[in-house]
Parts: sequence; C-alpha cells; structure tokens
Amino acid sequence: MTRNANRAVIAGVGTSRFGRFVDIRIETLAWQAASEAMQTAGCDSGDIDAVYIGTVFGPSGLASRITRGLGISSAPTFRLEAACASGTLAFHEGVGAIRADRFETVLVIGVEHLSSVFSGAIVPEESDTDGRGGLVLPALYALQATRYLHDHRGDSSLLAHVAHKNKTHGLLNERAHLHSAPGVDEILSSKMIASPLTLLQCCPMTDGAAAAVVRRPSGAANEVSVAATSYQTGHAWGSSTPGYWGSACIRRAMDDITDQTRLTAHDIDLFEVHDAFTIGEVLTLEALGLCPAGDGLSLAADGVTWRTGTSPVNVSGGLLSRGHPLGATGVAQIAEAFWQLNNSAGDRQLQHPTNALVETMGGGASGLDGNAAVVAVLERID
Amino acid sequence: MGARCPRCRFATAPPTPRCPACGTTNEEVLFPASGVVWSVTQVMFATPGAEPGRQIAYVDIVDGPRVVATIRPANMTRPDRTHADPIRADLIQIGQVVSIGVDDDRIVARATEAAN
Repeated sequence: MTRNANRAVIAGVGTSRFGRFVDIRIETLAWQAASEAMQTAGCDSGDIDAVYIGTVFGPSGLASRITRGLGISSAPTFRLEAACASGTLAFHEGVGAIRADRFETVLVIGVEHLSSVFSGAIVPEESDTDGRGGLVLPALYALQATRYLHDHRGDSSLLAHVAHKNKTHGLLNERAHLHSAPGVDEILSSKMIASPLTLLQCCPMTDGAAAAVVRRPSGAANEVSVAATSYQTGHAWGSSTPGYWGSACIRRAMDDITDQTRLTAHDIDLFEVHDAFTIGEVLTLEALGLCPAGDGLSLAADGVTWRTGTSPVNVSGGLLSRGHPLGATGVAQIAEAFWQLNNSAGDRQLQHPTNALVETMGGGASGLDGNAAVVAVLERID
Repeated sequence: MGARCPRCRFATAPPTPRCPACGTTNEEVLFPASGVVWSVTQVMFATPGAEPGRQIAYVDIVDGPRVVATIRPANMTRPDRTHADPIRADLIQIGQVVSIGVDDDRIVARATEAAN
C-alpha cells in the first residue's frame, strides 16, 4: 500500500456569486463554479474522471448539460439528492470514490436555481404526509425552537444573536447574497415568519453553485486533506423517540467522525454549519457536542461562536448571509473551509486554522429525524 | 388509521408496510382521536390553500404517532406580527390536550381541556 492510498484531498474550489439571478441559467452558475475550481486545482477537462452533482430542484438533464459545457461529458456523472445536504452528499460520494481507488480525480458540483422554481418560499411537498399537512420548512424549524425554548426555559431573543453574528460575518464575504448586518432589536422586530422565528432569522431564497476538485494527494502546495466524511440517513422519529428533529441524525454523523479521526467538536478550529434558521445553528452545535444541551442558545450572545471567539462558526456568513441554494450549500461550505485552511479567505481570513468542520442537514420527509446529515472534517497539510 | 410495529411498538400514520424504526412487518391499527401538543408555531405567510396566521402543531397521539396538525379554530386572535411575545398566551400551548379530526384531507386539532 502506498503512502497516499485511501487518502483524498481537495485540490481546488470555486463558487458562483450567490443571489437571485432570474436571467442566468442554472448550468451557467455551475460552469462558473466548476471553472474556478478546476483552475485553482490546475487541472484540465481531460483530468476529470467522474462528476458528482448535488441538486434538489435542478431540472432533468441538468447533469449532462453541465458536463457538456465543461468538455467532460465523457466522464461518468452521478446526480445525488438529500434535500439541503445534497451538495455535501455529492462531496462525500466523490471523496469515497477517490478513497476506494475508483477514480483519480473527480469534480463535485452543487447547484440550485430556486428563482426559476418558486416565486416565494419553498412550497411543502404535497406527496409527503407532513408536507400535505402544511409543514413549511420555517415551521419545521420553528416547532423545534418553540419546544427547545420550552424545555430549557430559554430566552427567544438569544436566537437573534445567531443571525446578528452570521450577518455581520457575511459583510466580509463579497459573494454572499445579503450584505447587511442588522442589530438584534431589528432582527427581533422584523416580520414574524413562523413564531418564534422572524424574517431576519431565516435564510433567503438564493441561486448559486459551488464546486470542488477532489483527488489523491499530489503534494501540491494548496491541497487540503479530507480527514473524514460521514453521511447519515434519517432514523424513525416520533412521539416515542426523544429529542429534536435532526439532532440525533447530526449526532450519529459526528460520532462516526470521532470514530474515524478521534476528533471531537472541541478540537475543531472553525465550523461551517447549517444555519438555514437561527435555531438550526443552536441545535447543530449541541448535537456536534460543542456544548451541553441547553447551552447552545447563548453561544453567539456570549461571543464564543463569533470569528473572534474560541469556536468560530459560519465565518462565511452562513446560509443566513450567503443564502441557501439547497444543492450548492454544502459545497459552498466546503469551499469556505478550503479557503480558510489555505489562508486565501481574504478579508475574513482567520488566524492559522488547522482544521474545519462542515455540517449540512437535509429534511422534509415526515416521520424521520432528517432525510440526511453530512459532516466533513478538513485539515491543512503542513 | 395507522400502523403499529408488533415488535418495537413504534406507531406510524399513515400506515407503512414495515416499521420505520425496526423493519418488522407492521400491523394496521386505529389510533385514539386525541393527543398532546409537543410543539406549536404560528405561520405568518400564505402557502397554497393555507392562510397566514394558522397554527401548526406537532401532536403526539395518545399511544400513537406524532402528527402535524392545523389548530382549529384558526386565528383565535389577530395575528401577531411582532416579536413582542413570540409564544403567546392565546396560542395553543405545549402540553395542551387536543382532539384530532380530519378536515379537507388535513389533520386538524382542537383544544379539549386546560393545559396540564
């Protein structure tokens, strides 16, 4: 076995800008992201052995249109869907293919064009029981928030500190969808969406794409090591199972990461986690084991998760600023981690992070503690 | 109408061929038409067929599954558009006992007695 067997690195990343782009085609967004990733990795079309694409609402034929435009339509292409975790699942599968020695170099792309599918918020899926019951995604998270605040006698205004933090972080991200940093009072007094979550505690509807080139280690200077990835599908969740929606699914993924790497949340230098709604970041950090149950609510207000804190979370601005183009989100999180570990994050660069954790949570199917959670840990190569 | 696993007792509605928790072949059962509110939110924007101000709850059916239910009557008071009191006293409360019904193919829940 060679030294590099079963190892995977990220050789380059790229993203489109994030925003509402009614006049830009979905494959164009993917081409922008993929071209940047391939250029950063120093690879040509002929170097790509396979393509993994994560998208939720992308139209049929999308994968082939994307690869045709990149001159890599002869490479086998796989399209994956796990709701909001689709892009991270595509990354997990791409990494797995490299580790299994199935391919030498793969291109991972996450892409979504929500503005061509929905005029307003995402409409719940009528063919799903909870969707038919009107469980819009803000309500799914709001229900967890209501129960969490009840269980821990929590102050709902602390949730707004999560949005204040991430939106302030997002001011430093020129590709983010939103560039405003409202104060806590303004966040709390914005329009109520699903109590207790106000508009400014909810991610915007965003179009965008992100990409990563994953391959075996070559020794190139800017490579970032993939220490571990874990993909966990949902388990049965209901009146007889304890805990909040999503939490156990994320915990299983983190337990698997710890089994693979011996790392816990306390060993991580920066986090990019699923903050589609403020409560999501709170529940995720608890599920990852960064703090005991009930303590996650005050982490942002206490400064712990700010970019200047001991455990920086969502220094990219998170989904609350960058936006949440579903399939693109996970790969955009990976891209931020890559830039930070490469000291190429520009104005928002943290001081010498050695590792980063990415978490994305996908949901919407009734009766499960998630459709899927994907967690990945990346490490700088010294 | 739903199903209960004969092995692990996990309850599911609507019924599935096998238990989502352990994979055992399910048995169809009728659940009681009452439950307890596990959590609730008031949704302040419209979606197809649903008005702003509706309350959506997770209801734990007695000895049964957790279901998504719309609270009736709707709009008990003027919808609150501010944060002032996000979990309002006039919204249905966690722990409230409710009766369960079906209206226009949607599960609905009505308060039956004081919260415990």
